[in-house]
Amino acid sequence: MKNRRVIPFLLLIPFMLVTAAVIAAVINVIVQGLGYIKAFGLTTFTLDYYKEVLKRPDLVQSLLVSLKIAVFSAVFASVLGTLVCAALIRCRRASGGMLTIVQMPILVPHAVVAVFTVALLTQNGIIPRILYAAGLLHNYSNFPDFLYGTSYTGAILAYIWKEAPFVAYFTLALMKSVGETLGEAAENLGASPLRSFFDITLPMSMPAISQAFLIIFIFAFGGYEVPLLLGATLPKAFPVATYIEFQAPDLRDRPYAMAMNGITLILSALMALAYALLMHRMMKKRGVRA
Amino acid sequence: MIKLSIEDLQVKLGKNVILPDISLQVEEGAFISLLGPSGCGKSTLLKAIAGIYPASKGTVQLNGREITDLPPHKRNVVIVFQDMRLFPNMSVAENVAYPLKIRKVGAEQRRSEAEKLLSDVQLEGFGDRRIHQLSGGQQQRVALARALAARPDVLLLDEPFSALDENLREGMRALVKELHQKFRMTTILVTHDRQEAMSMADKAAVMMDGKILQYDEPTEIYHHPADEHVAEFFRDCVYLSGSVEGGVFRTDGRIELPLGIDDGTYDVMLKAGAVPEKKEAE
Amino acid sequence: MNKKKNRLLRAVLVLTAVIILVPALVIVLWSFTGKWPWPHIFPATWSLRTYEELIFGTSPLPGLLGSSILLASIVALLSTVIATMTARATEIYRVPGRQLIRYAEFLPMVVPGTVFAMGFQVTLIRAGLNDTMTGVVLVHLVCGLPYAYAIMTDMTAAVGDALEEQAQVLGASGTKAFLDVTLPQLVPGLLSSFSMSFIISYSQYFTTLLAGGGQVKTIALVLVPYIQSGDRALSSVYSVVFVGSALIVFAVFEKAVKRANRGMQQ
Repeated sequence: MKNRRVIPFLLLIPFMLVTAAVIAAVINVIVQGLGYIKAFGLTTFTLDYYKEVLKRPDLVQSLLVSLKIAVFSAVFASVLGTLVCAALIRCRRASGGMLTIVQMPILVPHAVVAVFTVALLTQNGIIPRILYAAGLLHNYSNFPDFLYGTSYTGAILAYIWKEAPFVAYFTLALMKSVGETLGEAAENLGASPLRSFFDITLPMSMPAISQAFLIIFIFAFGGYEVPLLLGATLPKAFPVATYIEFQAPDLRDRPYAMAMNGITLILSALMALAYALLMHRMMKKRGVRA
Repeated sequence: MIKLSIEDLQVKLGKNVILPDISLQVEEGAFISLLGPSGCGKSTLLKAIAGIYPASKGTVQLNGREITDLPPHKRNVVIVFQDMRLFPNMSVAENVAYPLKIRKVGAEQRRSEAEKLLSDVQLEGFGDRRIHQLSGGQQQRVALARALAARPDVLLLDEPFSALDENLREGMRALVKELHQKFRMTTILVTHDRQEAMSMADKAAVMMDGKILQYDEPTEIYHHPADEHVAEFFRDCVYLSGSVEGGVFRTDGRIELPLGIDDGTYDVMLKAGAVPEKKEAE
Repeated sequence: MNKKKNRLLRAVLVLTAVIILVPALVIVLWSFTGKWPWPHIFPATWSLRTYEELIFGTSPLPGLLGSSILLASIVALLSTVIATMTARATEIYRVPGRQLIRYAEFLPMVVPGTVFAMGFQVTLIRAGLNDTMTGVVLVHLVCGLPYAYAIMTDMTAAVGDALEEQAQVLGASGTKAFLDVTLPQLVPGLLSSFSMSFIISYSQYFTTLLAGGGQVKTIALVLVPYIQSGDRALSSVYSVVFVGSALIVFAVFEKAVKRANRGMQQ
């Protein structure tokens, strides 16, 4: 009987160690971002580094670019992913070959997605070549500059390519079960399939969709290799700029990088908090204890 | 001889006291039933006897030895659960032989014992089937055979017939009684079905709100309910066991009813018709 | 009416499949390309230069694949074991504060990998684990665990402890009951957790770069500089190897999951 009390805590030891690692990293970011690094002789806490980062126009540009990438990637991936998910269910392709194809981008690393994007969408990529062959394009310089430009369209498209299937896969189980029960009930009551989808199936699938949205947002916001490989020299995506600061030769400049990491962390945490509050309200409205 | 002795047993789940103070003695080889409405704590008592729920007070003794603090696997008290709980990753024979395997019985002997037990529950030749290929009634028989394989000191049956169709229940009850006659193992049957409790058991314990209100022979409970709660529980119907021979139902020679039905054992139910009750309207 | 809508949705699926598959085909073409000038739709000359480089070049493929797969396997194994242990504590033993634990499990999803890697580097240096395999394993573990937790928590809750209880009253000790009855039922979850964590570790670039300091070589680490240098043929060949090997690993596990599921039912 005694074992029954000790075992669960033994089981939790590795979890606690890993969680401690994450917390240690977060504390490092916060403390060093506030200018305290004893080893480098920095021993006063100050908000100056945050202020200075937010005063530098290039870094503010970087922050805005990263927010833009995160918002566009998450919104488009969620909408398109939900559409693909609904199509999979409605066309009874929720298993087998089609599902395997939809799962594939989940397996493809971000660096390879960047290679795909380059091969397809640079001005001498395969898509401009096809458009040229079809007579729709007169010269490659007429093809919009998706890559390496300040618009970061290439990076956003890369994220959508990878994450929309993730949304579809992530939402599939929930949407399928809701559609087969409540959705069918709504159709039985006289709702058209489209109506029942928007009235019942979609709202009931929101917990999965919004969680996927959050994951993608934070991932695209803090992502490194996609904007590094597909983005402009200026402005750089915020994590790319952060890593450059992090590598600054004078170690006493480390608090700048950490203040930047702190900003990323705060915005990610706010996003997660907004999600948690939204979920809580949604669950309360439906009478489910969150 | 007393086989199982429970004294002043208290069981808590979290902060809730489910069983405040239970005492119960079960004779060697007896078949007793725990009877009560759902939520009265009878299944909790069963799990406490088996060691799944720890006792917060009191003692449980088996064969005169205290087992209150023994973990479930060292008690040799086996439950047959309502939901059968057969292991889907093992064949029927492997399920039945599982207790033997734990007890390090050799493979050859395991096979032959499992076959014997399967034939005891009328499932000869089912050994190689997978669990999902069996009907509910067959699964219940496998669960019973597996429990018997453990040669338990006390066999606990937790509403074993309630998951079955009505027409299967009677056969299962007869089988359980038959196996009890054969193996003579101390058995406790948990049920909310009065007829089942009264017709199958030597003694019945009527439970309500975590307490045992009366523990006696069935006829005693019929005729002399200990208090108004027990009386209330039995008010709307009474069962008389007996048999029909030559079209006449007889019970202990006291009552004779000419019914003109096939010979066999029967229970006659008497229902209080004059009492105005909601149930009657349904 | 209904049919028309379904045709539209079917078109959505076909388009999705094309968008997903075409890039992979283009990359395969690129990996065999010698010269591919504008505006040709197919390469003008073919070459096996990239495959020679792949096998005999500066970072020979067998070693690279070996170390990447070894690293990802260690991470996947550890994260599956940790997730199984944690799920057992919260779902079966129902430890106090388990709601808090469930939130903490998702903490690594809220902290972006870049922030975590930069913040954790000091700790790694203090522990003497920077530029080591152990350090990289630890950092990858943090990235993969939330997914493993999610899979194993659902699986453990679904399997429950009813059968384990039954095995115990039949005489099996707690450990034996777990191994004989619960573990076989967890197999599908264990396999998906393993393959998910494997893929996540396999795909890591930034965290490997920071924790491994270039000492721990993976395919991702070799690939990124090729992309930066603009060598499309070479970056394509590494991409083919990268995705190809990930697909093979995933396919093997999918098959194993299916077999395990079928075994459960038979």
